Amino acid sequence: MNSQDILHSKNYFEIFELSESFDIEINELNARFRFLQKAVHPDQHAMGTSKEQLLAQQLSAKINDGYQTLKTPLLRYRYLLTLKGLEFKEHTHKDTGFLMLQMQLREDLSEIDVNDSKVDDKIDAFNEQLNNMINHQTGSFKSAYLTQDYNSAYNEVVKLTFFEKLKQDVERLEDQL
Amino acid sequence: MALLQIAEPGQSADPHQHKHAVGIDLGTTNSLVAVMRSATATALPDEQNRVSLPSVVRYLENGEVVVGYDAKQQAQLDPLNTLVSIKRCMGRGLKDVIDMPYEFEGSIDGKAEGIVEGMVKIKTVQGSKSPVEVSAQILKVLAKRAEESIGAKLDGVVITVPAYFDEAQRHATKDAARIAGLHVLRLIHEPTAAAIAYGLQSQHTGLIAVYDLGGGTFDVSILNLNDGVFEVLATGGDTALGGDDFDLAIVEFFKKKANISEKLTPSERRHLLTEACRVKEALGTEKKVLAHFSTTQGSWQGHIYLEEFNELILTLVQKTIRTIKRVVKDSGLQKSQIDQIVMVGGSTRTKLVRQKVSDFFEKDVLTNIDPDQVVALGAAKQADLLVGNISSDELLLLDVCPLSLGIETMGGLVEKVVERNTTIPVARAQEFTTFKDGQTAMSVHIVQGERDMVSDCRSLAKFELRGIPPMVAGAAKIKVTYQIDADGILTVSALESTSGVSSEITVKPSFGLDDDTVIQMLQDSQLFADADKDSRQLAETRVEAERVIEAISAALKKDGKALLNEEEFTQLNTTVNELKQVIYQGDEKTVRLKMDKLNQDSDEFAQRRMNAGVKAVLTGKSVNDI
Repeated sequence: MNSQDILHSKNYFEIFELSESFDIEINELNARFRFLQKAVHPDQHAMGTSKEQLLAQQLSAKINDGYQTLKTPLLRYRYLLTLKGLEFKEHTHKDTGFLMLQMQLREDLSEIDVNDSKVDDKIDAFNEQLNNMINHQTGSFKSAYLTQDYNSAYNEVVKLTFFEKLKQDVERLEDQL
Repeated sequence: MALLQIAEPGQSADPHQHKHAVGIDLGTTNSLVAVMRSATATALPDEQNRVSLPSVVRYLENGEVVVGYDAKQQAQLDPLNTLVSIKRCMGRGLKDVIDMPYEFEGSIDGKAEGIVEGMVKIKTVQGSKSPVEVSAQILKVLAKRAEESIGAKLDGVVITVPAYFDEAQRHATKDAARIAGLHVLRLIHEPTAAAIAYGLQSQHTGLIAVYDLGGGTFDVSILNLNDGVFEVLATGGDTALGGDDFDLAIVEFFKKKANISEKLTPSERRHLLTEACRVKEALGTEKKVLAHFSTTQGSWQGHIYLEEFNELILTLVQKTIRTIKRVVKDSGLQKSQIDQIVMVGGSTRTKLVRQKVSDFFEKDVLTNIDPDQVVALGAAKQADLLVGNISSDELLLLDVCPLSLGIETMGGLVEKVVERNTTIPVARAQEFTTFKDGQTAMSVHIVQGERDMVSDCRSLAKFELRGIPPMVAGAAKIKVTYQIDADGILTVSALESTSGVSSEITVKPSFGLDDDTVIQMLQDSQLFADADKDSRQLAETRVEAERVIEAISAALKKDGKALLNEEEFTQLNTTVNELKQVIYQGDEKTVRLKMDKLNQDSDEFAQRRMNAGVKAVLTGKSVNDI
C-alpha cells in the first residue's frame, strides 16, 4: 500500500479526526491541518530525492484539499452527501417554484444600479434577504440530512449552491463601488 | 566556480554536518543575499561594505559583463546595453514590456513588428539576451559573494518572488537560478519572507498585513501566524507598480517644467530618471529638494516641495490602498482585525506611503527592520530551515496560488479549475467531454485571471490532446488535472479514461523557456566558459549525483534499519557505493546511469518512509517519534 492509498482509505473527517457531521469545530480542524501539514509538506523534504519530493507534494495537496472541503460549509455539505453515495452533476432543476425564485432574485440584483445614491442600502437589503434564504435553506438541508433523507438533502444543497453563486455576484457588484 | 570544485571520492558530506544555504532577494531595482550566522540573519556586503547590489547588468563589446554599481553608473553612457529593471521582463512577452527603453527582438522604435511569440529577448552588443540570462548574471554575483564570505560552496538557495508573480515568471526565476548553477530549495513570496524575518524575531502570533512596495512591484499579503505556522490568507498586487513609477511621475513633472514635448533619447531619459530618483529619496527626509537637469530640448532648475511630490504620486499610492482593501476582503477579515502592518521595500520610505497605509488601517506601521533587507533576511532563515540546519518543527510555510487558473470552454468562457488563494501544493481535476461524434482531438487552453471571458484573462499555454478513440459525442471522459507544486509552478495533464487508452501531456507556459534553451544558456554561461561541453555536463551531473547520495545516505542512517530488511539495506548501500565509486572517475554517461539506478532502487524506500510518516501522523504521533 502506498501513502496515497493510506490517505484514500480514510475519508476527510477521519483524516482530520472530526466526527462526520455538517457542523465542525473549526479550531480543531485548523490545529489538525497544521499538524498534518507539518508532517507531509514538501518543505520537510527539500533535500530529499525527487521521488520523496513528489510523494510529499501529492500528500500535501491531498491534505490541502481535505482542509478546503471541510472548512467551506457548502463544500462540506456536498462532501457529506458524496460519502452517502450521491454524485453531484450539472443538471437542470425541476422545481419550477424555485426556478421562479431564482429568476426573481437575479432580476432584483440586476436592477441595482451602482450609480444610484442609495446603492449601499439597496445592496444591504438584498444581502439581508439573501442571507435569510441561505439560513433557511441550510436548515432544510440539515433536517433532511438528519432524517437520513439524502435525496432531499441533495436537492437542498443544489439550491444552496445557487444562493452561494448569487452571493458571489453581489460581492462582485460591491467591488465595483 | 562552485560546480567545478573537486572533492575526493568517498568524502561525501556527512548528512548531519552543517549545510550552507542563503536567501536571495532578486529585486527589480536592487538584489541582496543573506545568510544565518549564530542564529541571526545577516545581509552580506561586497568588498566596499555595500549590501545591496543594483540589479543592473551591462554587456560590453569585448565580451565582458559588468553587474551592480559599476553597471549602474554607466547606465547613462550605454543605455541600450545596460539593462535595469530586468525583472519586469521575466516571463513576459513583447507587448507586455514594449514601453521599456531597450531594443527588443522583433521590435522597431518601440513598436512590435509582426507577431513575436514567447519571452522577450533584448538586443545587446553581445547578441540577444533573455531576461533569464540577465537575471542569472545577478544571481551569480550574489552567489559568489556568499561563497567567498562563507568559504564553502552553497548547498541551496531560497529565492524570493513577488506574491503576484505568475506561472511564467516563477518558471523564469527558477531557470535563472539553474543557469547560475544554483540549487533552488524553494521560491517563496517576498511578503512572506518579510513576515518570517519579523515573526521569528518577535515571536508574534496574530494577523499581519505585509505591504511591499519595491522599485517595480507591489504586493500586499495578509498572513496568519499561529502555532509556528505562517499561512497566507490572501494576497494581491501589481507586477508593474513601484517606486520606479514615482520616478516616472517626477520625470513627467520635469518635462512639463522644461517644456519637453518630443521623445527623449535613451540617455537623456536615463539622466532625468536618475535625477528624479535622487529627488524622491531626498524627500524621504527633507521638505524640499533642489532639482536640476538639462537636455537638448530644454533644461530646468528649481525646488520640488514635498507637497508637490505627494500630489504627483497620490493616484499611485491610492491604487495600492485599493488593492489592500480587496486583499483584506479576500482574506475574510475586517481591517480592524489586522494586528501588525509590516512595511517592506525601499519605496515605503516615502512619507506619503507610510501615512496612507497607516491611515487606512488606523494603526502604526512596522518599519524597525530595514525595509530593503527584510525580505532577504527572512529568505535566509527559511533557507537554513530547508537544508535542515534547524528543526522544521519551528516553522512551516503555507502559501497560496495568487491568481485563479482556468480552462477555456465553449464560447470563449473560462471555467476556473483552481480558485485564487487556494493553498498550495494543490491538485484539481475537472472532467470534460467531446461535443462531436468521432472527435479524436481536443484543444486545452490554460488561462490565468479572475474574469469570465478568455479574452480578458492571460493565456498561459495551449496544447492538444490527440488520439482519443472515436466515440459518440459526450461519451469520452477527458480528465484535465492542474497540479501546482510548493513553488507555485503549474503542470497540466489531460487524460482520456473511458477507453483505457490514455494520452497525457505536460505543459510549460508560453512565456517560459523550453528545456533545451535553458541547457543551451547553461552551456553558454560564463560559469563554464573555459570548459568543453562534455565536462560541463559531467560537472552538472556530479553535483546532482552528490545530492542524491546525500539524500539517500541521510535517509538510510535515519530509517534504513527500521524500514528495510537486511538484504534490502545492504543492496541499497551497495548501490550508493557504486555511484560513489564512479562519481569522480566515470564519464557523464556512467555517472548518470548509476545515479538513475540509485534513484530507481531507492523509490520503494522513499515510499515506505512516506508511508511510515503518514501512518504516524494519522495515529497522532509527531514524525520525529517514528
